[in-house]
Amino acid sequence: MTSSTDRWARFLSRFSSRALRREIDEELDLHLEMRARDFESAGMDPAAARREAERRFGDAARIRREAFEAENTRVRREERALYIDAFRQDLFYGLRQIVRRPGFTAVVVLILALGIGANTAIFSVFRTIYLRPLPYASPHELALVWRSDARTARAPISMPNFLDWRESNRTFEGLAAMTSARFVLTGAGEEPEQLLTGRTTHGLFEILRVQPALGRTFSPDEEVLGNDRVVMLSNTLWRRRYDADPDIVGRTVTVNGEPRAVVGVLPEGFEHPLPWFYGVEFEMWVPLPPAAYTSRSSNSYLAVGRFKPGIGRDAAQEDMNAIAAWLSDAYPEANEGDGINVATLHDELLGGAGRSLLFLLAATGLVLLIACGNVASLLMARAAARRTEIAVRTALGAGRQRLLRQLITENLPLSLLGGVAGFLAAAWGVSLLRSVIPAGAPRVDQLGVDASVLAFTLVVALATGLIFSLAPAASTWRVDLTDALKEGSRGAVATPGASLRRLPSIFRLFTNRNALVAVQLALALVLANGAALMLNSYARLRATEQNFDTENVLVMSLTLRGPRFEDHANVRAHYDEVVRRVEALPGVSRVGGVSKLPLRGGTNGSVVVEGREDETGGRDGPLVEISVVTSGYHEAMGIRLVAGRGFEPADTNRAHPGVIINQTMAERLWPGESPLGKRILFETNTSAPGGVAPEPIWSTVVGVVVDVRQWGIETPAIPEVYRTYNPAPPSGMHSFSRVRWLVIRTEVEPTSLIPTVRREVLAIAPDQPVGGGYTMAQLVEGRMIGRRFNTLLLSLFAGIALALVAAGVYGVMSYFVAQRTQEIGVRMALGAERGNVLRLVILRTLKLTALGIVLGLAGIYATTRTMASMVYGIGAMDPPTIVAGVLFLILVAVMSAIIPAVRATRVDPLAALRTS
Amino acid sequence: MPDSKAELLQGTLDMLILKALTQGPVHGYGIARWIQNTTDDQLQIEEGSLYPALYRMDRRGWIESEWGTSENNRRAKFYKLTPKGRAQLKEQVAGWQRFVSVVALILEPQPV
Repeated sequence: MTSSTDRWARFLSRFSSRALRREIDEELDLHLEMRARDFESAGMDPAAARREAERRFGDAARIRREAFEAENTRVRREERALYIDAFRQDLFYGLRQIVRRPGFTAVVVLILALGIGANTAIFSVFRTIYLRPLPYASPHELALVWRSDARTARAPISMPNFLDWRESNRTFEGLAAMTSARFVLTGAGEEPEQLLTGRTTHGLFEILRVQPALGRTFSPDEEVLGNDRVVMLSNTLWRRRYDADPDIVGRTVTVNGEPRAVVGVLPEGFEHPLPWFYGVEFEMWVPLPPAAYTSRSSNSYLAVGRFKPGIGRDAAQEDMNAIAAWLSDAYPEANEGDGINVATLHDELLGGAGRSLLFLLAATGLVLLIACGNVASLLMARAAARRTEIAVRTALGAGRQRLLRQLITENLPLSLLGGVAGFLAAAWGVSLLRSVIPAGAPRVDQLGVDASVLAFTLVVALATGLIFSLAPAASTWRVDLTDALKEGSRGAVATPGASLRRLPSIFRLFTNRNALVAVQLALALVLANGAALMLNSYARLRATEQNFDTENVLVMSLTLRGPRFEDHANVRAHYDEVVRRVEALPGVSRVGGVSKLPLRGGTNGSVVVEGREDETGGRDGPLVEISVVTSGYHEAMGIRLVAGRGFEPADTNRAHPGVIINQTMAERLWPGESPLGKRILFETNTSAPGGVAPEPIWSTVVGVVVDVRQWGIETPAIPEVYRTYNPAPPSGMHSFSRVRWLVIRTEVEPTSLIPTVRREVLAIAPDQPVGGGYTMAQLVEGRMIGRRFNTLLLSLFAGIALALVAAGVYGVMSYFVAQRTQEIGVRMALGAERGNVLRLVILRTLKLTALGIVLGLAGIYATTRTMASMVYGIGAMDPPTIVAGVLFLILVAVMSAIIPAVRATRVDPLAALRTS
Repeated sequence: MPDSKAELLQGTLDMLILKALTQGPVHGYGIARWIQNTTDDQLQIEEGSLYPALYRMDRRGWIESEWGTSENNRRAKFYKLTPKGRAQLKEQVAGWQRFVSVVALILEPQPV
């Protein structure tokens, strides 16, 4: 009689194949033994008997193998049936529990929705922005090739150097140089538009493997000066301005006052690889004729390339290193010491955003762990009530793993339900995020939830289910059979000494709900500290003095393009007229012009200081920002003068121009002395075409202004020099020397003047577009969006974490009070006051919180490096912030424990003593 | 005997085992011994091949197995017929007898 319990026990204890083999061997060996013995009793000698027995047996090895296979299949099949059966049982149990206890289910699902939802939302953003493949064929083969020097590893390059790169490299299938510009498109009764234009040498579209929607891309000979009067249109421009005219190819359009033939239209959704204009489309593309740019030190271009098949970044880097070396030797003046940096396109385009998102993803991970802790705690309470059932199961042979599997399966419906809720919460959250995310981030419009996000949610939900089932499951392993049966299900924690099996101590720790809450407190402290640091940083950032006026300053962009403005006299006249007329408008107090605005990136070059021509100057000379301004700029922008004077008409003298510098430059170049009267030389003065060096023109410092940040709101200011636009710019500098922005100081609300100003400027030159129109306040706000986004989210997560932890503390302290009801009753009967009881509970809470704080401090220390890269103006380990966080946490914990504490004081001693 | 000894014997072996078990639960060696005794050692089988057959029949539900103690106090696996097995035996015996009578027809001296 094969008893079914026999089978049951066998399957429960996981019949391994090793055990199976052993059993088979045992059986077969017995057979041989008995056969041999029979032969022996028939008179054979032992050895012969053995041999004969084996002979009669047959090929032992083969038989063992066949036996094993036959038995193994059978065992496996039955095991599988049992597993499926058990799985089904447990699953339905879980489903029944959900229905039977809707309140409990609702609480758990809510908690899970918060935790899973936050993770899913951030993951969705992460995936859209970071993980989606780049829109080019074989994007891993694409790279940006930078110049690297002592100052930076990602510097633009010059045209002659690029041509040498293109000639000599052996690892690139194609290399193209490109840059951006703003060209004016006019013609055919349409309004003139200033459009972002890409200028590229031949081959860019072939490198990106982009097929034009209409027509063709540029041909190699269109790189030649003279043949380059062609243009390609972006798909959007073609639809918008030309109504998707199918005959557009071959038509002539006027760009910067000159006719160009349209040779092609780019396909829809084409994305350019330049990292400086995220998400912004180039509306036109024109060829870049290398012959027009002969200065080896004029670095304005970016190289894009595709590796040859089979070549990786490292091989290309090696090749380019060699090229860099010989270029450095061959042209020391321009290239000395410069290297080449090959960076894959993927890293280039997506680096910064990825880091920030990973940070947020880590934070949501912490929130999820806290949420799991809460659910685990709730489930442990429920598991305690089933101790009897579990004790019986264990007695019948259910092993640890079996119980764990059971609990996980039972919780599966719950965790999946939580996942669904989380997914819905995330979908809602993502649409919310879309309105909050920094506009500069790439692919914001593609944000949304889709199949991969759903898959992620599923994985997270399952993992969550696993995690929060572990602790309750582990807590059941310590059940002692006799204790459990005796005590019934009053829920007392099992006595540690009487455990059936030895547990690793780390599990023991987590089965303790107190320890769980302590860990939750620790995680919440880390998050709260992080959020506090971020909020602090953000406040500091907002409070930072910009040194220009953010109120009442309007900026609008000017363009001067076309053959008329090749003559500098016309340029000068135009600017003068514009400034004069706009200043005369009612509501305007001062007007100035500038080549670049603060905080938006700079233009730099080297200068030579008089008297120190050897140390300064050359390419190792101090790098200074160079701005071209009209005389009224500083006043209009509200940039204070600290020494000397503002620009006067005399400063526009060709032979003796005057310049104004900022404080950093004064301190850097002339430490300890007044810079007024000192003279400098602009590097580019010396590299005029034609090989004849003109007489150097020294500029005299006439004034010093306060520093204004050029490269971003968090990057400190670097030395800057302001020169007037009046003497014609030296030929080395191109559009950077053009005044491009009109800065208008108003007495009324700035934006109200936009149409008036525009009308006025257009009246002077109707074919030159006036664009933009925003206040400096808006510009500063725009620079802060990224940080605001991060801070907002982190604070949100910290808030959720604290709420979850509060619930956790509440739960644990309620449990504590319920446990100790009898003890409290005794105490009160013996004369303890309500106050003492309250103190008891609060002290217990504080002890728990203290443990959490200690762990949390360790956690803060561990995350210091990560936080250091995110904070501004404050250290990553800031004692006041930490102290504030600790105090706040204590407050939250104590407040959560108040209700259970009050409940404890209400214990009726008589009732408590009677229960046993 | 011809090559087909193995194949012939596989089906027949199952039948023999089932028949052996009608005597009551017994372990593998006991089956071998019973065959030996009943046929007076005239049928010599590869004794080891009993076991794969036993496991196969166990999987098919024709027999059941249980660990017990042998006559010399050793742990041994005992096999027992199930109702399904009994039905299978009846079927196989009927089949065998049919086979024998058909072959006998062929081997009979034909009437002239």
